[in-house]
Order: sequence, then structure tokens, then C-alpha cells
Amino acid sequence: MAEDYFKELKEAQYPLFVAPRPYSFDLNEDMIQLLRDEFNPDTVATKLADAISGKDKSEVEKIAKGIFEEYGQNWMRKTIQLGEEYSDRTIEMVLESIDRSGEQFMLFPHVLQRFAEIAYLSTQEFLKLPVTLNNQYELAFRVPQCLLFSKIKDKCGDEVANLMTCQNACLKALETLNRDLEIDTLNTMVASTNKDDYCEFSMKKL
Amino acid sequence: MCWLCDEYGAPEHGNGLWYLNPYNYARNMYKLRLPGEGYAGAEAGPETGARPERREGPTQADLTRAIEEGNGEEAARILPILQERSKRGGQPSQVVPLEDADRVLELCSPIGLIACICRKGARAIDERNEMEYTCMGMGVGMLKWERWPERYKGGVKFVNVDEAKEWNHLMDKRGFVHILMLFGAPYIGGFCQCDYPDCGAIRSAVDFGLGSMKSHWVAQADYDKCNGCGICASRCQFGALKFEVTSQKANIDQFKCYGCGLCQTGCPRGAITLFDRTKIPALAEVW
Repeated sequence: MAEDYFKELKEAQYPLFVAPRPYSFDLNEDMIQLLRDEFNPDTVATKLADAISGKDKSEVEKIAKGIFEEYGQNWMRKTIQLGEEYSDRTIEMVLESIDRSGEQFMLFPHVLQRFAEIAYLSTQEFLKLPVTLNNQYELAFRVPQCLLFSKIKDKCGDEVANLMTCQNACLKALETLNRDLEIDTLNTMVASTNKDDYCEFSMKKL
Repeated sequence: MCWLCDEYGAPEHGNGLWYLNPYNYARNMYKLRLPGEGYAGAEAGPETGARPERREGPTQADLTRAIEEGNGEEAARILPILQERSKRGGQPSQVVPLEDADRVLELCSPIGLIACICRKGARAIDERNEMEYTCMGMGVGMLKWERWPERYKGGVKFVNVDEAKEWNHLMDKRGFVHILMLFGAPYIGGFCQCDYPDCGAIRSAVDFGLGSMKSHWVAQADYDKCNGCGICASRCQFGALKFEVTSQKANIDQFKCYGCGLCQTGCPRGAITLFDRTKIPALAEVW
């Protein structure tokens, strides 16, 4: 039998490329489903409806603010936890670049953007988050046809929905994102569903 | 204003110049896929992303084939059709001068240096590391460069805005034209560094009047300052600038000028200025 000239090469470890795991550029579907189950807008809208039932109009805003802030904080905390647990190749590219260069310039906006996208894609009905700005100064995105807003409308009526108390959930979620990732940004809501048919949030780096 | 400014510019950003509108650089990082849904358009790679929407009629490949076969009649029939189509909607790229390029780099993230596919195709030059890269990609698509077709792969070096500007100035010094590439208008995803004849965009523009759009600027020489050194003529990639033997000065054909500004940045005497194309009646519609 002829000598296998490539035996040594075949047995050697291939040093050039080791496929990272998981090697998907998309978000993990299990993670999306876990968040969807836990932070379903229908559940929080029902909770709000029960809480404000029989309450005076002046109390509604205060009660709703409390419910939505708690929801927003838990929603983003879980998003960060699962987002870090269920990695993907897209964010690995950002993190590897930070590791290699030691520079943090890709942390904002891309790490924040990923968590924002995970949070909204797992609780809304759209398939991609309309990101309107993502540069070194600002991250901004829209929430069209908000599912939470429509659920509040269904369960609590137009009047309660138009108070836009649900903005507390989104703003608290973004605040949690800042605090947990230690990135200072100025968060504002620049458009709201009751007036503009969509909400828009802006995170300006400080 | 060019048609891109009409459609995608915003008066509050860069006086309405579409490529200074920061919204044209923003895109989502992720998309939830429906069962069985694969990658399409810009997600599938630079070629499918940069390609304008499919249209009826002849393509540039048909034109090239007709020329190769020596079929002048067919080439003469195809070329006006392509040129007409190219005037609006068919050009996925625009030349920008260095000053605007610096402003563009402030508006996008991330910025990655990559290998140039045109030079690979035209010259068999395989750029393998950051010292060799001559192309720049921008936007979140760069985070997914690994899923591009194998022929594109040569790695990526992510840089911050200051590093990107420095690199761009170096490219300018070397004599490359800065061309913004669209990946599904109005999204801008690439910043090519081009020269003739290596670069597909410039080659189509110079040879056939197709492809890349002229910039919003046009060069003009100040004969009192020009000393006739000829540096500018050697930097023009569009055949718009020549050394006038009689006057011993630079002569610019403004109808051919793409406003890349390479002559301006290369002039040691500061004798060349860029003027707003739209303010010159004869050139206002020459894109």
C-alpha cells in the first residue's frame, strides 16, 4: 500500500479556523419564545385592567405607572440575562472586535441596539425593529402598531390607552438597559402612538 | 439636487444632501424569520444588495457581450436604453469628495475595512489584512460579513471614526476616488475607494456613462495660482482633466468632471476649488 504522504497533516489539528458556536447570525428562537411567554403584553394589560377596575380616574395614571415601570424593568432585566446567555454570531462579532482592539467604540450603539431589538421582537408582532438612527451619537427606533397599546385599548378602553401610561414600560426598560450596562444615555420618547400612530424612542450618548 | 436628494435628503441635515442624512445609515441588526425563510437582498451578500431592482430589457452584461462579439449594431441599440435607465434609479452609487467623506463617517456605525472585490476580479489582488484593504463597509451588515460569498472573504478590521477618517485621507493621498454604495436605496452600506480601470463603478461610468453618479461638486482651476505642475492631471480617474500644453496650465472639462476632488487635494498650490454643481446652470442637471 502506498505511503500516505498526508497522514501527518490529516492527523494534525486544523489550526486556521474553528467555527464559533452557536454559528447563527439570527436571534435564538427559544430565547424569543421565553420572553414572549413571560412578558406577553396581553398579561400586563389584563393586570392593569384588574388594578384600575372601579378606581377613580385620578388614580389610574399612578397605578398604571407603577405597573408599567415594574413590567419594563423586569422585561429588560430578563432580556439582558437571556440575551447574554443565548449568544449569536452577530453580537460575537461586536464583542470579539472589542476584545481584540480593547476599544469600546462598538459598545454604543450596537450592544444596546441588540438588547432593544430582542426586547421588542419578543413582545411585538413585527419581524424587525425599525431602527431609524444608529451611530456613535444616537440610537433611535420606532415601535409601529404597538401590541401593548392595542391590548390596553381592548382591556381598558380608548381613554386609558390614550393616556400613554405604557410609555413608562419602554422608558423604564431603556433606563434599566443604561444602568445594567453602565452606558450613560439621555432617553426620550420623540413620538407617541396616540398622536403619531407609532412610538419613537431616542437614546443619545452622554 | 440629484434624484437621491429629492427622495432621501432632509433639509435639516447637510443642506438636503441625501448622504448627510443620518437616517440613511440606520438599519436593524436582526430579523425574525418565518419558517423556511432564507437570506435575500443585502442579507445574502454585497452583490445582491447593491443590485438595483430587476428590470425588463437588456443588461450591462448584454452590452459587454455585444462589444466582445464585435456586434456594434447591437451595442448601439443597448447603450441608450441602459443610459436612459441609469439616469434615475439605476445607479447604486455616488462619488463624494474628501470633505464630505469625513462628514459621512460621523454618521454610520460600525465601520469596517475590507478587501476590494473589484481589484480581486480585475487584478487578482487578494487583500488579506488591514495593511492591504482598500475598501470600506459601513453599517450593521458588516457584522455579518462572514456569510458573504467565499470570494469576498478576506477579513474585516473594525475602526473608530477617527481611524476611518485617517484611513480615508490616506486613500485620498494614494489617489483613490471615494464612492458611496447603496444597498437597497436609501440605505448606504459601502464606501468604496476606486480607480480606473480596476473599479467596476468607475469603469462603467467612464466607458459607458453608466453606474456611479457624479458628486454635487465640480472642480475649477484658478489659472493665477496654477503653476502647471501637472499633478492634478495624473490624479483624475475620469479623463476630465488634462495638461494644456499651450497655456502650461490644468484644463478641466466640467462636463466630464465627477467632482471627486482628487485634483483639489493633490494640488500643492491650492489652485483648484470645488463648486456646487447645482449652482452652475449648465451643469445643474449633469449627473
